[in-house]
Amino acid sequence: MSIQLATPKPSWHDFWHDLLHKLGSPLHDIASTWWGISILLGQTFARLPRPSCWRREEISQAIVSSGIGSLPIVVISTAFAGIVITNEIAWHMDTALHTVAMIPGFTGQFILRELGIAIPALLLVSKVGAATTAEIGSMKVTEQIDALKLLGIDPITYLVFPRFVASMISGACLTLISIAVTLICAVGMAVLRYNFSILEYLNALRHFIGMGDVFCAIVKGTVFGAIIPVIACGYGLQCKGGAEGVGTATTNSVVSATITVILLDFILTYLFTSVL
Amino acid sequence: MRQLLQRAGHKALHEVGDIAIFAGKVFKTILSTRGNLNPTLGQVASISLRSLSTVAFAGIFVGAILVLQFNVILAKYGAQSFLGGLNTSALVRSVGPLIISFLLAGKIGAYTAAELGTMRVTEQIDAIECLGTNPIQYLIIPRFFGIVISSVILLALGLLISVAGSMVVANYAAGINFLEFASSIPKFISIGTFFGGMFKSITYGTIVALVACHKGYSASGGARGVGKAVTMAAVYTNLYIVIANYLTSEIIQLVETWSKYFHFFSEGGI
Amino acid sequence: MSIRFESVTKSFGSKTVLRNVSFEVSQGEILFVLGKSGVGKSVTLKHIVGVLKPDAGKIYVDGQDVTLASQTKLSDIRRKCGMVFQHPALLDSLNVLENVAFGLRSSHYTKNRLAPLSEEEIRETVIEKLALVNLGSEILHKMPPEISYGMQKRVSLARTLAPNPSYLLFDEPTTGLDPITTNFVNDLIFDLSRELKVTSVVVSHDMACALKIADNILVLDQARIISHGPIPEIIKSPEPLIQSFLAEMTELIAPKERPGDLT
Repeated sequence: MSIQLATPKPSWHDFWHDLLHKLGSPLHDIASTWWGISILLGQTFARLPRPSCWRREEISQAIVSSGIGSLPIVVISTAFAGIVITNEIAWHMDTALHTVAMIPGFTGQFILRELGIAIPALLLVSKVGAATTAEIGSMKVTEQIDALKLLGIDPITYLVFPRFVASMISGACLTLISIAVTLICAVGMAVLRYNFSILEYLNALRHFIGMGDVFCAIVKGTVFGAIIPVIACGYGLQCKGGAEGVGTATTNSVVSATITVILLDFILTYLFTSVL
Repeated sequence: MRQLLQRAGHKALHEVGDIAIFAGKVFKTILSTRGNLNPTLGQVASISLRSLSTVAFAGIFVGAILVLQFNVILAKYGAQSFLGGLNTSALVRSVGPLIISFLLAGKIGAYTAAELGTMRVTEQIDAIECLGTNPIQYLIIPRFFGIVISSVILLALGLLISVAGSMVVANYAAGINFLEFASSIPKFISIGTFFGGMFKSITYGTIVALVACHKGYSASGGARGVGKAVTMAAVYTNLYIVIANYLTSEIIQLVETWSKYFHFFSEGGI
Repeated sequence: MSIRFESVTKSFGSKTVLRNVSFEVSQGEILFVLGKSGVGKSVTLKHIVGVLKPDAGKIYVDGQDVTLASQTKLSDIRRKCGMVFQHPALLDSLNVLENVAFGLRSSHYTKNRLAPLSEEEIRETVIEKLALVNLGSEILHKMPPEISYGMQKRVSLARTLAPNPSYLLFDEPTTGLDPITTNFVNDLIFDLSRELKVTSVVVSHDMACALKIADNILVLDQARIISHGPIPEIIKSPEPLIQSFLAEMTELIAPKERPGDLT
């Protein structure tokens, strides 16, 4: 004996309705999320000139967790990156020109202009961005954000702004540190494997690199450091729906922040290469 | 200071040990059960479709950034004619796989960790186990292979799109037209590059898969625990990819050096 | 045919949740395990199905030592024990029909039968079990997020009942439910126990439910058993915790005096 369930026959109207919904709904979600993040960005910037928002304790806590907390992973990663880039560039120089004399200049420039900035930024996205979204997201779904508002505490001043400031400072510092570490490891690799002397290498560096490049690197680092926590907090504050919601928000925050960093990197690179 | 290093050392050992145990369980399950391919193919399809637009978007811009940077550097040596080959080679050999894998760590890795973490925290995985199905076979194996296969596919597509993107940007922003760009490519690219790229893709894909599945599967502690699992998946995947980048590059270079002796990958062909 | 704990001790890090716990559950009885929240009650259930292993002591299910069981023997034990979790724990990616049928498709369920169940038989079994928990066949194709929390809990119960277990283990079945559904679930546990002749172990912090349907009550406090016996014995227990539990219960339903009341 089989039991048939009565299901309505699908119609064309339903089909188009479903299709529009399937296409439009994610676009609507993305649009509304980014609208929220833009508003948050504006609200965060608005707090810059207000001295009451500069809460020393929260900011220093955030610097410790985002800056010093990310230090180990940034140092390890950039050390390995420095080694790899030297090898790669040596191979390319060898293949194209059958000479390795250009290694110091080329490597140094590439590290200072791109590698030493992009890698720590992408690591910050996961270390700081994901952690922040996870933390604020779980605060949102356990109603702690509402509790703060009811107690008269502004979540943006208390949660977002300190992380914003701290991450800008950490971003700049970590960029400088990572450039230094990458260069040291690159020099080490060149000395060990390609028979350069340290003096030779540093001379070549001095020839090609100037303070302008360092300044550009710091600007990039600061910009990346600024945008990552805002995106992370934006996703966290808009988080809905229990454990699953926290997971989804964290995932989307990491992906969005990575893409934003790549996009901003392109814009800043274009600006710096066409202006300078 | 010493205590800090000691604790860090302990933590690192625990981490490696945990992943090793998990990997052992996964491989034991692969060897001892004969499942069907459908769930895996389903995972490959859904993962690839979901991540395609993101990888394409990122790929274009990564290629563009690299072209702009190399253009400036090469101009200082007057060697701009090498832009095409150098850019493509650097992209395909190391920068491309690295950055795109970072992206996949987020898009695929974090997603899988979130999915599995939520299931763990809401006791769904316990329920599966108590109802008599091996959760590693039911949940992890399709996702593991799905992620590895999708990573290879997506990385290949991402690299192609990056190269195309860099060609376009070179043409309009650096004044190197398409022909000039393409002409220097054969100097740097060979069959070996392709195999090297595949090797890296499979390695990075495995890392993303293993770390994401492990962190999600061992999540605990409610909503907070899911967030923590996703964060750790993202962070550790990135770290392992950077280390693997170094190891795979060394291996590839070793192979290339050996092969020079046997004239396999050289310009003259086989 | 029973479940027996012998001197079981379990700690998580520095926190001991079970210390030298020994008791026995006889066939067909309904045992309520009571205690304050977080005291180690769910941990007890997880030991029975081997999801957790004790630091010391043994657990026997139908004479089989769970702690030493091989994978096959463990599968046998899990087939006999149906566990109903605290959260509904329905699989989000499957609809209600597939969720309830999940246990019927697993390899260790089909191993014991001469031939695996056909789709028709599975569907009929699912509808039958859903009817036992007072749910109709109209929800068969719904996904878990589309049905209410109370319905999810009942579907999860139907899922556990599908492979016809001889033991039912409930982890806080009525937590978070309204009084009507609480009573319904309570009566259901009682009826199922009697009708299907299963042995039920119910972990709960709701003493009212226990006093209504339990054959025996086991009270845990600070990792130890402070009382174990039938209801009349528990009520007469001199333990201060139990006495205050009972006192608070009657206090709970007596309306508070308000100023201005004319007595």
